Amino acid sequence: MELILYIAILLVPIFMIPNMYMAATLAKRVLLYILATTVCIYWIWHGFDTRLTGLDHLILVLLGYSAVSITWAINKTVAIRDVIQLGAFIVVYLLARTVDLNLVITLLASVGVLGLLISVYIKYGTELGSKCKRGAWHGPLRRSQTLWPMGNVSGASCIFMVGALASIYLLYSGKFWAIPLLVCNLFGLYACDSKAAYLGTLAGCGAYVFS
Amino acid sequence: MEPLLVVVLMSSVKIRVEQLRTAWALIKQRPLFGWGLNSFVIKRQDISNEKGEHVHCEPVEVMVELGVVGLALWLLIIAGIVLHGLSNPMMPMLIAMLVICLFYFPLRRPHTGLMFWIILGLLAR
Repeated sequence: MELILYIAILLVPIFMIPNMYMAATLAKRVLLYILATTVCIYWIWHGFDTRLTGLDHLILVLLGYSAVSITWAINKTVAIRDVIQLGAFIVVYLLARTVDLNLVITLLASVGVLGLLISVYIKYGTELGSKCKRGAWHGPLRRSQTLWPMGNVSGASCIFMVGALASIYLLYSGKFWAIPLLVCNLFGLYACDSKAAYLGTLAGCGAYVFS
Repeated sequence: MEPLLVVVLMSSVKIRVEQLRTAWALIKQRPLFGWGLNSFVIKRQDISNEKGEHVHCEPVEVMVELGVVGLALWLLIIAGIVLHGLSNPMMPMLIAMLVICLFYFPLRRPHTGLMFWIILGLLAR
């Protein structure tokens, strides 16, 4: 089952259907649901062997409360979608407690780099990229500022921020091969130019320094 | 700073302030249980002309949609994770995500939400 989580980390952030760039979030969401459902079916079939802590119960209460809130939500269909998404996230959370930590950190540090490579391909290897008017890495794609295939610059910067901090964690553990990953993630952050991600990275680095 | 950058920055701040004003007006109407998931995008139309789908601040959006009860649950979960993984070297990742949550809505998107919940899971080990 750990394999499902590794696939999710590597695929969900960069998943998109070619020529349907504006539906990228929907595609990512569908992929996340498929992976979470697979895990749930596995748990039903083979039994759920993870011991739930008090914190897990609290998270399940949040899921239950969110589900109840559908009754007073204005748009019930979208509210149901949000509850299903929260359920999928909780499956991911439960899986993340049992997986190989170093592998997960390495994947978190690598996914942004993979996204950057695909962005370079779309920018310089496709017709769509050549139509892009400005910005070396991101530019106006219809109405939104998009860093293919990681969604808008705010979402993509979040992935690079986590990647940069994961790379620092690897360096902190003595794995110096993570230096190129750190450089790529910092470059991705620069390409996105999101003030919130800069602040987040700064806060994370500060926490590393003072911890 | 370049004039263009100043303009972009100011418009970004202006949008956020406007969203917070709208959110506050909605919170005052239903403080305890909120308006239900994803209701901000519909209810804001009654109050403001601003076009954002989500409030660019997660705690405020949670307060609008799930009320004080929902926000309290979220804060309890975060506090529990922080206390559990206080000396964990992965804590800076959670801190960074929490900072982002103040300016964006990462928990609503599948790719950024996935990152957040993986970090929570790794810290809860």
